[in-house]
This record gives sequence, structure tokens and C-alpha cells, in this order.
Amino acid sequence: MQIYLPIAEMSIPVEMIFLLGAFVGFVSGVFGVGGGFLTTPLLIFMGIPSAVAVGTQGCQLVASGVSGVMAYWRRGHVDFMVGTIMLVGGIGGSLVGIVFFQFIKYMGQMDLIISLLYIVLLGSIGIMMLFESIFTMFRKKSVKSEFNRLKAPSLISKLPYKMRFPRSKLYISALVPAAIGFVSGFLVSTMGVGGGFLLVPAMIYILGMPPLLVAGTSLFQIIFTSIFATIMHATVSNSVDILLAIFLILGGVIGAQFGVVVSKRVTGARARIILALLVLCVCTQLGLQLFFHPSDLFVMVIQ
Amino acid sequence: MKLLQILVILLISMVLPSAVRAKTGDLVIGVANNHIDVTVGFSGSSIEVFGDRRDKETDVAIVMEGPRKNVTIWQKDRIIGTWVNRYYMKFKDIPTYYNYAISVQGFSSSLLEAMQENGIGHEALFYKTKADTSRKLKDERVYKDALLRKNQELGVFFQQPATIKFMNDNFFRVRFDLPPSAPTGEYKIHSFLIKDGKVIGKALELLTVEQVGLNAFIYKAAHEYSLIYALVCIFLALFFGWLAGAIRVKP
Repeated sequence: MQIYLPIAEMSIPVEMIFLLGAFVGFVSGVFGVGGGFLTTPLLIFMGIPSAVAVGTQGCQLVASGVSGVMAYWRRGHVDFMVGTIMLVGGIGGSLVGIVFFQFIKYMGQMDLIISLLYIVLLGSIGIMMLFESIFTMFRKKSVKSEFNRLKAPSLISKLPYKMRFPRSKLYISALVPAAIGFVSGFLVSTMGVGGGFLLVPAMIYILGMPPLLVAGTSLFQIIFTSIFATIMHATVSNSVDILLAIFLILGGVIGAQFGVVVSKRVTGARARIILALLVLCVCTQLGLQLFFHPSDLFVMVIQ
Repeated sequence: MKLLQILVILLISMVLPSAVRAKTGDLVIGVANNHIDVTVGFSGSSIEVFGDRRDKETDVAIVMEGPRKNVTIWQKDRIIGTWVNRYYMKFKDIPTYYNYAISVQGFSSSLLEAMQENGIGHEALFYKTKADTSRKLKDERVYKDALLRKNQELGVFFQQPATIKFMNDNFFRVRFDLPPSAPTGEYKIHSFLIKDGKVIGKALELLTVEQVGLNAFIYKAAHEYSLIYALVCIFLALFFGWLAGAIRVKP
């Protein structure tokens, strides 16, 4: 069934959006990630204008964030104080991201910049995750401890505005979580990804938060940053398509249910290897487009 | 013959009460439906243009064009191993939809010139366009070809012009296909009467392609009340997210 998207102003089979949503929901259910890194590139492959893909993706992040955070909240695994400080940075990052987004749109290099950002981010995260999980599998020893030793607390501890975070048992400068939040906000508004797979290691290794609190807290922060980014995209560039969002979210809700069931069988390092390979696949696909001779050298932009 | 013509015109006005008729003196055309509704289920449409010429020695041309916009064609080039949008050519006022039909068999040079001046045929799109290019371009032709090809890929331009079907010596019809990706806005249907390589009469019909119903409502809300629209989107996302979370907890 074809559906005409009012904001993207194009007709697309509704099953395709639904399946995409379900697939991403499945992946996020299995691996506990937002899955934004899959949705935005896949929407663009499907022919949705990149501005609409990124703008609408924020909406889906809100939905998947809420459903994820509920489980953690019930168990008390959310540090609202760290989350709030990260959120302040996140809103700043979103603002900078929106301005940057408008700028690259104006320059006519949007596709290039978004692809490059994706390649750098997914490539580095994917490789890191792959190595980390292979190490864990073969040595049966977490690399985390090595990372913790590598951590340079001297620089971070010198930063001003120190605050006490009782829930995480931390006494660190508020600038550190704010900076991490800033990066996340920037990613949400420029790439439509929550950046959970970037936030989680950053919060463990840089902030030194207890791993138990990390997932819930990062989701809490991503929800609010995504809400802010959605408002900005809707008001500044009118690029949020509510119909597209609804079908993505509906697909996601159903896919996630199956994902959760599967996640009980695929756990630990094995799950992380699969996720890392998935991330690297998307990265390679984007890289091929950029580095290989394109089949069509011309691009049309209608103002 | 006279009787048949009157009959046909009568038929157009009877069968198609919404039809708008344009008169150029010796050419009458009518559009079956001058309002195309883009609904949620819109998957393309077609526009039927009927016409009647008084003199069978004359030829006719019909041009249908969508709202005009400025278009930039970028050409990728290799910079440090990556393919980057590098050269460009800007075109002013290019229709976002273009299709035409012409009944002429042989094209004389005077006719080709008349076509250029009147915007008939793809080449005429570039007739008045002032090219604005970056850096030195060897060939503007490739950009013009790319523009035509890109639009054909989108389904809003056509490799072959539509055909004019004559039902008898005078009465004819043309069908223009409107793809699902057709841009919304005001379309123009120009009709031309051609004799001896000259345009001797022309007329204009208007056609509106517009989102209606739910689509129109969403489009309007997103553009005019964008803050409320954003809040509704977020509310929906929160609700569905909560629903998903609530279902998941109860096995």
C-alpha cells in the first residue's frame, strides 16, 4: 500500500517503513541500543530527503528511549542528577548541531558531511566494539579493567565546578558530563542518532559511573535531547514528518518485542560482536558510496 | 462537420461540468479535472486534456508544467580520494514537472525557433536560463542533460512527449501522466495553435495539484503551527514509547 508522506512530499510503500521500523526495533530490543544509526541511513537509501530522515528520527528516539528507560527506572537504575547535567550540555550540543545542519544544507554538501560523520563514528565505534568483545571472548577477561587503569584522572580532576553526585558516588567537575551530553546533542540534531553506543563507554570510562546506572541514565538524557532536537527541526526547517514517525514507531514497538525475546539467547560478548559487525556493515556501505566511483556523477538540488 | 464540432464542445461541457475551457479563437481545449487531490493514498494520477481545432490544416501543441523552481546541478569530483559535490550549474525557473505533446510531423527551423520562444520541448527550458556556474566549465551541455535525466528518473519529466490522439479531423485528446512524486502547486497547461511554422494562437489553463484531507491538515499544521505540531509529534512518541514499555514489562 502506497502512502503519501505530507512533509517528505513523496509516496512510499507503507510496508517498507513499517518493516524498517520493525527491523530497527528488533535490533534495539536484542542489543539494547537506540538503533538510530540504522534508521537514518536506511531512510536515506529509501529516497527520503536527508533533512526529513534526520528530523523525523528524533521522534522515534523519543519513543524508543521512553520504552527503554521505563525498565531501568523501575529498578532505580537512573541517575537523574548526572542525566540532568548531561541534558544541559545536550541542549547546547543540539543548538550547535541545528546551526551546523543549516550551514551544510546551505553549502550543498549535506550528503557528504552526514556520510563522513557516519563513517567516522560508526567505523571507530564498530572497530572498538569488535576488538573489545573478541578480547573478552577469548581471554575471558574484561578489557574494562585495563581501560580503567588507562584513565587519566589527573586532567579531569583539575577541571573547575566540581559537584557531588551521590547516586553514582562521584565527585567530579560538572563540565565532564555536560561535555559528554553536548556530543550526544550534536549527534541527535545532525545525524539523528542518540549516540547511546558512544555515551555508554564514555560514561563508564571517562566519568567512571557504575555500569549499572549507565544505560538508564544515557537513555534518560537522550529522550530530552531528542525532544529538544525534534522541536528545533520542526520549527526551524519543518522537517518532521508525523506519518513517517508513526509508522516507524509502530514497527519499532512490535519489532522490539521480538528483539527482547531473542536477546535472552544472544548475550554478552557474542551479542556485541554481532552488533559491531552490523555497525561496520552500515559503515562500509556508506564508505563505498563515498570512495568508489559513483554510478551517477550528478546530483540535483531543487531550491 | 460543423454540427459534430458543436456536439463535441457540448459534450465536453456536459460530461465534464467542472471543465474549464480556454479559447484561442480557432482552438478550444478543456481539462477533465482541474483539481488533483493528493490524499494519503495518492499513487499518481493522469490529466486528460480534450481539444478541438477549427481548421484541420493547423497543428496543435500542448504543454503542461508544474510550479517553477531554481535548480542546482552538482557534479561530483574526486578530492583526496572521496567523491565530493564540486562543480555546479544553477538553473533559474525550471518547472518541477514538464510534459508536452505536439501534432507536427516535420520540424522546420522556423518552427523549432517558435517552439523555443514558446517553451515547447525540453530545449526550450534552457532558452532564457542564464547559467550561473562555478569555476571553468567546459561544457554546459552535460549539466543540461543531467537536469533532464535526473527529472526523468524522478518521473516528472518524460523522455518521449505525450501523444495527441485525434478522434476525427478536429477533435483530439492528450493524456499527461502525473507520478506519485509529482510536486504540489499550481500547474499550467499551455495550448498553441501552429500554422506554417508559426504559433498563431495560444491559451492557458490552470490546474491545481494539492494535498487534501489529512495530508493538507498535517502540511498546514507543520508549516503554520510548527511548535504545536512538534509538541503533538513528541506527545505521540512519548505515548507509543510508554505503551511499548508497559507491554514489555508484563510478560
